[in-house]
Amino acid sequence: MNSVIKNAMTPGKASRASLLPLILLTCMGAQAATFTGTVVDINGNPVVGAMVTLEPSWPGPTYVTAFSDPDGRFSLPDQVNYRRGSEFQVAIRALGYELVDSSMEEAGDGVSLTVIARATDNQVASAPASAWLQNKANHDTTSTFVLDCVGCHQVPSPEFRHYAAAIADIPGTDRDAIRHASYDALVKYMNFLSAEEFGRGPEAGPPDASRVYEVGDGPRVIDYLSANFTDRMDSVSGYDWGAPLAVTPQTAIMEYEVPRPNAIREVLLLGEPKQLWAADVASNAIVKIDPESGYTSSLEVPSDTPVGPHSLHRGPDGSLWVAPFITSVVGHLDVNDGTWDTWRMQTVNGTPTGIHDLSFGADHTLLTDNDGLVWFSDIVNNAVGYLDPDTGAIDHYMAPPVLDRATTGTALYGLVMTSDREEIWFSQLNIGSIGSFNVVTREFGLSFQLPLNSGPRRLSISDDDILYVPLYGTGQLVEYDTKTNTQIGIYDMPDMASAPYAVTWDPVRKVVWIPTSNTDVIYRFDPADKSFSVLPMPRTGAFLRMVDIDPDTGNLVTSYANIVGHVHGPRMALIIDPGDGAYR
Amino acid sequence: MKFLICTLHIAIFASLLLATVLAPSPLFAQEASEGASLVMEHRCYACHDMDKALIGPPYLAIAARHAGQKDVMEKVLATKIILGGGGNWGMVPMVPNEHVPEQDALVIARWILGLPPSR
Repeated sequence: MNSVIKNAMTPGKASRASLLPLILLTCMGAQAATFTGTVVDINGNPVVGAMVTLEPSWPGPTYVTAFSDPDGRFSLPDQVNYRRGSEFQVAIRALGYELVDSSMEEAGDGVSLTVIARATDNQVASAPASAWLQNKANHDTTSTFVLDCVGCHQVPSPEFRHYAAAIADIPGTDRDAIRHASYDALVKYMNFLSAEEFGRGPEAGPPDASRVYEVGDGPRVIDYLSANFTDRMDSVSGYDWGAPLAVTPQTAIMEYEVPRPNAIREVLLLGEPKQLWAADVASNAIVKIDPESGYTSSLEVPSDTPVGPHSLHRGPDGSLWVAPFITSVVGHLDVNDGTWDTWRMQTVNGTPTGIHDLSFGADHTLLTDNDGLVWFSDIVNNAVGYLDPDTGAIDHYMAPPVLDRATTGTALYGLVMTSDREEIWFSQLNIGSIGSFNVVTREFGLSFQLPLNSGPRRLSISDDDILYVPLYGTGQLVEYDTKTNTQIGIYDMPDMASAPYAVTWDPVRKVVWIPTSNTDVIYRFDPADKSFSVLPMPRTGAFLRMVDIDPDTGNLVTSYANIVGHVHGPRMALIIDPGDGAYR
Repeated sequence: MKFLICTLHIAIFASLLLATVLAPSPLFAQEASEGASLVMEHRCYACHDMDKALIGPPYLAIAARHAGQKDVMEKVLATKIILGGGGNWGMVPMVPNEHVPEQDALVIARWILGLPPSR
């Protein structure tokens, strides 16, 4: 047995690994398959709520994480593929702690670890990006900024913070002018990358720099950055998760790394035996991962045009529905026999569509209307519509104007169906609006409006037809009764700069899971007492997307969906056992 | 086709590497084409053009400024590509590009410094 620090962080340069400093342990004599241990500080006191991450060298998940209990003790899930002499690495994430050393010994049938952490006032290595957005300006301007920027990447990312340090090093006395000019350049650069990312298509080349530098809300973002990010941004302190941890000693997070250049968006667990199916928005591929072995393979969506699989939905028969990012193709895969159906989803006028979500119900499974039609949101045409999977027929219904708000670029986005299968509810991300549509009468119904910078994204609906809406910009959750058309409440997230991307109703636990893009956590909201708790992820840069719940185990299935190419965070599929035994 | 940007660039890069093995050519020519391709792969074009000032200075201007000190600048430029920073061309620092491997940064630096003095 020996213990070697393998990868110490180099100040000023980002570690290529997303984990905290790693310690390499080599076990020479164990036959054990259980890993337990204790996290203590430098004085021997237990460190509570620390995430302990194992990076095995044997087949299976790329990383496995458990949480330390009030005595500092943790227990990792059984390591089924562990072999004598296998090497592994250990890392921790605990707010305000850094890993300093660890040791291991064989204990009975298992391996026992002692992990030593040191308290640090500077949480730069352990806090999420949103820690830097606490108490910045006022919440209203921060919400607008989150909508402008966090839709594509965490802010402030490590790259951003290094740039802030570079600005601080520019000589000169007029600091305001230096900052403003520097952030002006940064925003132009980001606008270019954004134009390239969202301009992807069969004929597109690099954008014309002179045309895309000055777009969108550039001046507003530059002003925000100049006013709020004035120092080197190499320290942050005092951050906490803001709510109790939603973990138990049995909570386990399994992370599966998807190798570049894949840019995964969403992940589902389907098939027999259960496999992870990940949408690779950078190509026409669905990445398949075997949870037991970690073995990764790739399936092509059969299409002569680029699809960019984006949104995934589980079919009622356990099949996979795929909505596109780039062109107007919806796909359906029988995951057990590998056969595809695809539909070209053009409008009746032959113009492109932008299918975003397909209708689903309280169990987060595709739900057709009573005539078997699949309903969808169309982000390009500000419309809802249907696909008849049997005939291939589709039709569109343009959403009506909302108050004095824009009628183009509304981003008609999330979509759910009520339990009677007669009504769909949708969000319009860019104009802060929620609306309904009756699929029987084919008429738009009630809508309600939220602030323009609220950013309602992917909705969910409970078995009682309660609508849950995450507000990405303002960091809140809306609870709305679609039966009585009354808003039950609007609740502040524990961290209002967390950028909640989606909500998922959990039909067994009767709670709502809320993945965040800017805080590396999934919130758990309990409608019974309107309380939040927090399930943190073991690494920074965890740009979370949709959460699905495996109906058999109750495990959460999600992804770190950092965008193609220019965002350098992790790209992983995750299976999370909340450890509460709720589905047993 | 722009769509498969990452994979395509890797494919192009791989074919270039293969070409250097199969077709003997002067080292500089190999690095010139490799440098130009790496500039595309790492999206340097978001800020830099050959002869036009965008967010950052044109490649030709960088080459001209350091024409007399190529040996020193090769390593310096490669380091700056990765770490960013500024003060050399005005008050705007360059963004860090920590995803660029050191080897690639060196090839790009050699390519910039090897650009012809006037075009």
